[in-house]
Amino acid sequence: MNNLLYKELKLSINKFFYLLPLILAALMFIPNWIYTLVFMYFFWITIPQIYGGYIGQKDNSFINMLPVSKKEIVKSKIHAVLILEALHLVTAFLLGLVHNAIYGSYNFFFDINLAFVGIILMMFALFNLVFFTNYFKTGYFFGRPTVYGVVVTLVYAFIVEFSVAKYQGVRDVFEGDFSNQLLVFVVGLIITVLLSWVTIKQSIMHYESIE
Amino acid sequence: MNSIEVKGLKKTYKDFTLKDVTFSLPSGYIMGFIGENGAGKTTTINSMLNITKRESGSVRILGFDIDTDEFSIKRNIGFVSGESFYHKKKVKVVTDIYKRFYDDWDDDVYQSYLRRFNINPEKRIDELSKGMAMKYLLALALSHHAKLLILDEPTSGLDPVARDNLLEIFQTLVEELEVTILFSTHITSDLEKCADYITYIQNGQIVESSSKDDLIDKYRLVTGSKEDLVYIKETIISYKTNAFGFNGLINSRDVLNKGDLRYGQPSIDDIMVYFAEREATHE
Repeated sequence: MNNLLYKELKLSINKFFYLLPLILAALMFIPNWIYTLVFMYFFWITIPQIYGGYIGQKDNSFINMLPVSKKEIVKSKIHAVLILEALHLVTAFLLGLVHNAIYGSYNFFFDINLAFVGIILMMFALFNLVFFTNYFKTGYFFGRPTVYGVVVTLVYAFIVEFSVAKYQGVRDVFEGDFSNQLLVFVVGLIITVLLSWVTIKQSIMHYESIE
Repeated sequence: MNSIEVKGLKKTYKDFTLKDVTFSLPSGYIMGFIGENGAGKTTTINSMLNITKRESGSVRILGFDIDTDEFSIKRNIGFVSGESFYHKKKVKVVTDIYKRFYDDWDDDVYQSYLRRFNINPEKRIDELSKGMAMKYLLALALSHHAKLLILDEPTSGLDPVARDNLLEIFQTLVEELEVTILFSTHITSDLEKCADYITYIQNGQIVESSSKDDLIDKYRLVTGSKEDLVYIKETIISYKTNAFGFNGLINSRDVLNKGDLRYGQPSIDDIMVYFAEREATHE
């Protein structure tokens, strides 16, 4: 699997997508904004570009030559995306901390804090679940899986941002003291790990059953 | 020993079925896998290698069962799907990735093939001609000491010179390294040049699988007047009429010396064309 992951990161994914997290993270400097949007560019730009790239570069023809299992193929592709997502999250959060130092931490929408990291982790996990389980039904077509993933994450982000902006009780939970934020982060992390596990299992099952 | 043994392979798609595909290829020989476009060549190869799921049938490659020893098989064969990939990447970059998957990768052998085939590792894949790209894929396969090469349409899209050059390389590989080669093609002149065995698939079914000489001996071209057709109408595989009479293909065992019937040796092209004609007539 490590060789396949290396192949994904070195051969299949363009170097631009390792720079993009830094470019997009600069959006965290916009004052008073909906910061969940920063991570959505990943779903709108990176995912279709990478998965379109697989088709354009005839990735399947290359993989078919190799002594690898379908399970390894699925895992390597998902792990590569997880690495990119982690890169987006870390760079954006670090610049988010700088944002807080410059403008203060108050935001009309969701603040940039530890709970926000938990919320974004879950958003990534949700997108991955919808996108990958649908993508690996064909291992080729990425359009519909991307649209489904984007719609689900838009609804998710809308609910979260709207709730925080509209209801004080929700704001208290997500933007209260550090222990509250830590709790949201830990719960988010656990849900993310569980959803990622389900994503990988389901995707392998779908890919192995392709006729 | 057989390098490939395929028995009763079956695979059904919505509008196409691979029916009971059975053939074998002895080690150290070249087999041409022929058929029209859409006859099932790629589906057979993909099903053999577990790239697509097959419904039934068994596949043994280099003595191993594909279901239980898929990875040892894939480590010991070279499979080229006929399409090049990662066109914008340099040869050396693709090789650097590819070789990681093979424990017995031999860099000296790889370098020697690059020199022999005159491939510059600094070039991008799309800077190589189609023939050169195919040679590069062969170099990759041979550098991990593949004992069997399975090549899907390797000569497709090549000019006659590049094709001839590639077929000569096939023959050299068999002679020098005792490599076994199965290659699919719809260009029958490829087979006249270098195939020892031929497997002919039509509409998902194997029509013939035998040595090239046996295949040609098995059939006869037949010509005669329209009146003569009555003698062989029941046994002739298919025929075409013209102003002077008819031309057709018949099994050698059905040859009858009656009237003005004349017989000749068919080419592989003739065999393919008349079997296709029979299929069209039946439809």
